[in-house]
Amino acid sequence: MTEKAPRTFKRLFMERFLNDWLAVVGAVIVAALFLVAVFAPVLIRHNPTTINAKDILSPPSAEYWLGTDDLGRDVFSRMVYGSRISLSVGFVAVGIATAIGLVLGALAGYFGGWIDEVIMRFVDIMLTLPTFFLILAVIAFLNPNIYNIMIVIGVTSWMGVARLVRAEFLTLKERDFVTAAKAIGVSDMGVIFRHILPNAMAPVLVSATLGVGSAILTESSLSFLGIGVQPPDASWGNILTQGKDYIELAWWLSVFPGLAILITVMGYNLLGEGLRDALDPRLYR
Amino acid sequence: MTASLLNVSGLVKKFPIRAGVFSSVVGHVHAVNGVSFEVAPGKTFGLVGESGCGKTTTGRLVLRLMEPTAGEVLFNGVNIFSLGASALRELRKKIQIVFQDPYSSLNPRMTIGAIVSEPFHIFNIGEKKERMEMAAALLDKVGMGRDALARYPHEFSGGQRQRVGIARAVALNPDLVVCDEPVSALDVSIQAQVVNLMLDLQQERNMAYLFISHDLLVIERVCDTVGIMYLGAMMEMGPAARIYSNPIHPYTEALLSATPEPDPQTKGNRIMLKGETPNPINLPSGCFFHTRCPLKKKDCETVVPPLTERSPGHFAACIVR
Repeated sequence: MTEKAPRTFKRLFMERFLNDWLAVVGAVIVAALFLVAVFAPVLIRHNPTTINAKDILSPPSAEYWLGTDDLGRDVFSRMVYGSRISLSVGFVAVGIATAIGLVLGALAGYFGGWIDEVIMRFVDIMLTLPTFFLILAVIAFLNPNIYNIMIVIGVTSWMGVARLVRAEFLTLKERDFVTAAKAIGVSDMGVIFRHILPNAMAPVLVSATLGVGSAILTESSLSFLGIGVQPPDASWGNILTQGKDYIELAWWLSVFPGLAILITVMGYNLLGEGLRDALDPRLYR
Repeated sequence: MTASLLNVSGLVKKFPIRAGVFSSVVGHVHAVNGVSFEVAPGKTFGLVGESGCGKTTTGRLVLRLMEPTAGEVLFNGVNIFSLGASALRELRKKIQIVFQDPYSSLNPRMTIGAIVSEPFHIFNIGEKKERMEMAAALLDKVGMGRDALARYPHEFSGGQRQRVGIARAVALNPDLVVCDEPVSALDVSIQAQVVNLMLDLQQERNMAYLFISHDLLVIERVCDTVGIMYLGAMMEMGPAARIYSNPIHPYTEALLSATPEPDPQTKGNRIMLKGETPNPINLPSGCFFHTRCPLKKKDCETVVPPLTERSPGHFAACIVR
């Protein structure tokens, strides 16, 4: 073996990630969205809720970059503010789903037996419920505000993560390094969280990143159906709703929010795939 | 014989086979069927046998990584299966394990330093800095440099990884190390180095080894006492020199005759066994070996041969010889 500079995991990860141009594109999209969401007030020229009666449904121009809607509000400003909704819903909902899925999947996979049986049957029950209609039903009882939407999306979308984590645990717990950890007296929780979980994170990270995309889609759908983010607050979904009524008159009302959703979801998917490849140490041969 | 460090008696392990809607038990895999042996302090006991004869299961039971169906394992006179959680934790310092597959035995997400210093971490020995120093000293002992500390297992070869595994196992100065085929996954040239390392460490630290292998040449090199297992039962057991020069059991004889002979001039008298190893789900009656034994007699099908002492310390389970 030739001498080489000590290669830390971080450096290997960065090297690999930066060599994957699709992953970089995904990261750039996600980063750009973050910047847009954070600096929203600086980026806009019109208040997103100000009504301009004389500029109703005006096409994209130097004044209104992405045109205006049926109340004369600036679509660009509304979309910039909508990105805040999309990102926060995506992250909080997926955070909740991943946390629930990780813990339940880890317990089921590691302990097996009746614990596994109970958890996985619960997963099956949750999966039989049509998630979207469940969300619709729950939101009908609660206030359709942004926080309830995040929580409801989160607690109805953890099953995939749980199954994924369980499957990873089933194979990983048979590996010798897990036996070795038990043999030196590491506790069950230590084995689960320090030894097995880090090895199971790559697919979870990928599924979480993909999950952000799908949570954004769900939020958009809910807003599109009018039970998500309530006007006058803007969300990409409710801009689309307005757009559908004017699709023959004002294409920009439908196309731009649609594109935003498309690009965002795609950005998360590319980022997720890139992370998976870059995080896998078995590829560093 | 000196007082034994490890005393295994009548160890039995059956794995239930479940099937059907209600997961009812439809049978058992009889992995270990009443094995007894002793390991003296600082000595090496070799367990030999074909794949699937219960060697590894025996090793795992000695570490109490699983619970036995019957039998006991006395370590320094205390039955390890009666220990409570805290006493078991203390036992973990005393009995350690080295694995067969160096690619699966090290956590790919942990640095070599973290892996080797983990035993110290678990037992709260030293500060973080000191632990790394101790890990570096251990790595030095097993012939690796301290620059390995910050690196990951995938950066090393099989032999180097096995050295790391050994360093981890001896970190807490155990009295007994279960070596589960520690060299069979390595190149022959590396095998010798690792075996020599293990012998050096044993002398220096006065550890006992329970050395599990299917390689009779390695066993001959490292073991004081040898036990031959077949289908989860002990066929023959005794001082290594005697077993190799004067095998009693027909199975031992067949195994020894199958050992590759380094000198091509020597014509070996290879004993070819007919048939396959019987299924451990349905064990043969009488002597487990009777289905393949060249010396089989009628009684072998019905009489379970006891393990009897043939000469001092040399036991065999055969009614023919």
